[in-house]
Amino acid sequence: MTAVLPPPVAPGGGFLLTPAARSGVFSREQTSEDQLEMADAARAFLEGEILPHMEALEAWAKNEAGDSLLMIEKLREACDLGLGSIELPEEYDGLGLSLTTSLLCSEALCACASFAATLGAHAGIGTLPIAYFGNDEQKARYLPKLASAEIISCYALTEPGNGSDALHGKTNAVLSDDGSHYVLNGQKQFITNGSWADISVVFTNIEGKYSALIVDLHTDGVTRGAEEKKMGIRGSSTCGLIFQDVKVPAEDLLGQLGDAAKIALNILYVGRLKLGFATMGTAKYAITKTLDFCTSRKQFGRPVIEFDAQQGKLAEMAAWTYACDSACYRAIGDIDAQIALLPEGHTTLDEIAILRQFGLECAIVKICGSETLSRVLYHALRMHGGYGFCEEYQIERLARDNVVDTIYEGTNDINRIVLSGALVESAYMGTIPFRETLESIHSDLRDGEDTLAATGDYLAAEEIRVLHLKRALTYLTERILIGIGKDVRTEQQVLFMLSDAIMALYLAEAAFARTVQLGADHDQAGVRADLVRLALHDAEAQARSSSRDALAHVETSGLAEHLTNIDRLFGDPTMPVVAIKRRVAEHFIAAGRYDI
Amino acid sequence: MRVFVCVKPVPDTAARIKVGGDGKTIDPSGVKFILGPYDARTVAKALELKGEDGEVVVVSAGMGGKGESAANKRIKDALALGADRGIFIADEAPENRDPLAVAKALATAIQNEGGHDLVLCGRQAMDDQALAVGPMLATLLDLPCVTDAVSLEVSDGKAVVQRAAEGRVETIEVTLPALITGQRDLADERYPKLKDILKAKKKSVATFDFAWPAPAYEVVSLAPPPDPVAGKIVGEGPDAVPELLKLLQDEAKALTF
Repeated sequence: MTAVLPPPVAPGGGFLLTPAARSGVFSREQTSEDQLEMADAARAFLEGEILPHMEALEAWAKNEAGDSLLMIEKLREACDLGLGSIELPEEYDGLGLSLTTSLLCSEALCACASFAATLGAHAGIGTLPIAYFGNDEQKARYLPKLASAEIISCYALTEPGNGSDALHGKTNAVLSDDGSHYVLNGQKQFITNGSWADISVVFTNIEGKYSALIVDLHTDGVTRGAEEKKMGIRGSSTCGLIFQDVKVPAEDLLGQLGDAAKIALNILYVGRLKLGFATMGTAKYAITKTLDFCTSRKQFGRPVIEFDAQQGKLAEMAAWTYACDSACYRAIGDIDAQIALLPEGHTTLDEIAILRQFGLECAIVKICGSETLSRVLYHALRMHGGYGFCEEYQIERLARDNVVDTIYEGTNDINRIVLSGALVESAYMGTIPFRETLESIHSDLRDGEDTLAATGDYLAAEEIRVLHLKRALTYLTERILIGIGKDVRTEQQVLFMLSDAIMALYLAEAAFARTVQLGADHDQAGVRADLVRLALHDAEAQARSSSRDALAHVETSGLAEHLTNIDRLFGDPTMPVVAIKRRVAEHFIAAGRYDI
Repeated sequence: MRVFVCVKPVPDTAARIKVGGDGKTIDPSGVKFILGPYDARTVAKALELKGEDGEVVVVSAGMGGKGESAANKRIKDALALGADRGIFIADEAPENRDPLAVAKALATAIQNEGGHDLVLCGRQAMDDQALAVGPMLATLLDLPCVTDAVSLEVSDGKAVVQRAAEGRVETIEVTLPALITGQRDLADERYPKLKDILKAKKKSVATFDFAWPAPAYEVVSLAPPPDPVAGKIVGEGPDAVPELLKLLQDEAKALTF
């Protein structure tokens, strides 16, 4: 492993207050050769064994022998290669590799969300709770069989009446008089792998404490509901699970009574990262598909991609994706850097605790991955013209499949609340140097001082734009805290504005830092610098609009002054985007694919 | 059984090939090199055939746009699929190697190993498509040669090979040792297990020194294929058929009667 770990950045929004990062930001270019080879293997499996069978997978076809569903066969093939046990400990037949390696493989296994959902429900949220919170006996009993997919798992949290409000379900389990087993009653909803899973991690009340059980789904009293008829990920299984007096051995309690919140939320952090990486990978796939189509499709005697409007869209897709990619790797790099600081002999639970501190960054990865893909697919579908609306060209399926990305693993709405909530908490608790930074901004505003200095020559103007963004958003955060401090939980519209602005900064800065670190001599330096400019332009537009709307709501007096201040802090938004987009498009047209 | 498999790094089949600045080689920037699809299937077949005490040895000469590192990496790809060890034949100046020189290098390295039951090659390298090294290597090793195998079974010192000939499938029995070149259908595609990628790093890859002869031929120039000629509409309905037939016969030379 040659990856150089960056110095740690304070979790929970520390990036808002640091100088524009010219170093210490992790990016895909810093991944090791081993990690890239693993991702290549995952990609080869996807291209050879999954994508050619999309139609059969979506139709729930049987395998060639006719004795098992093709999806299950492919799940087992993937797990046989090790794709389902990357981060499981070696003593339980896992590979014992880092979360970063696992995420690279999530990115590579993109473009077939039905398969990714099936694998993720089994190997991610269905297996990791046992790996992280199970006792030694449970791990030995379950993990090797889960690693090989000899048994298939799922994760049952949601109930018919409890989706986002996940920890107040009505499912209930009662310990038998002799203490040998629980009797489980209740109903779970929208369970991925529900139709074919052998076991499930089921969240339930026990003695009034929300807890988790490992339930054998072949036990008497378990009924699987009808398969949902879904808009997307149609090759995956989604159904309800009904438990009627199901006897669950007492030794299958996962963790302690009352551990549900700890288990459920921590697993979701990992799930959010994986989903972010997978959707980011799919965005790249969609760009390449669209380039393929628009290069061969001719209208008015010319390939569609030669038209200026289409080039503008291509450049936007590439810039969004570059920023999203940069943000995903930035987040996992910062997480890994903190994990590297843990003392030797630390446990998985210590690592999970780090992940929890980075809840804000995990939320960013999840939102930006799923929504970057949505934006990319909006263009991709329309650039395909009428064919984009037809199943044959894949984009139609990708667009349908993408919708659930914004709903599961915590809806994007919930993630926006998590994001801004974490920032507010960090600022209040003083875990990030919020006050100190604010003082310098206010003193500059008083003194009429707004000459910001770049700390390096390469991309100096872009660095200053990053600084402007940071200062404006620090100011915005303060105004929101002052304006709605006591109502911070109910003022959700304003919190969304804050979340969107902060996320925009995180992405643009990640793209800037990644590009600066590669240097002016990199063979793609030109196009990468242009992608940074477009990412900054996008972030500035987003942040300005959110800021003005938020200030207009929270400032009861002196709005004009605050608007003037924030405009000053944002700096001059002018940018020659048309010319930049043409240059970016030219690069990708020549490359024929998303080659960054 | 001891099986030698000869492999070559080739540009990814999806890569856009550009002619380099020298006008004689391809521009390797942005081109990903892979284990060729025919080579990958012969490795898979070798692994099926080797048996419990057998050995699969992967041999590659430093050909390909990025020379040594590309060849070494492709040997590692084969090791990750399950091959036991590798032999790398370094080549300081791979630009003008003709197929015979490569075949001689491979033959010398294999002879140096002191015995082989089977030598497998892909039917062709995906990049230069010379289809020559396999049969030449068979001649140099004095082995019977069957090309374009679509199936291969081995028992009692003999191999039964099916090969795809024009319009028919030939079944040939050949005494071992022998050299077989494989089609894609020779074996199912194999994917490396993640843990085998890590194990491959620890497997042995020996470097074999070969005294390369002075190049006997030179690539004088390299050019992209000509753009396809635009189609022609010769008319509409049955009246156009005679003209169409005439053009297909005389101009396109696509039909012969």
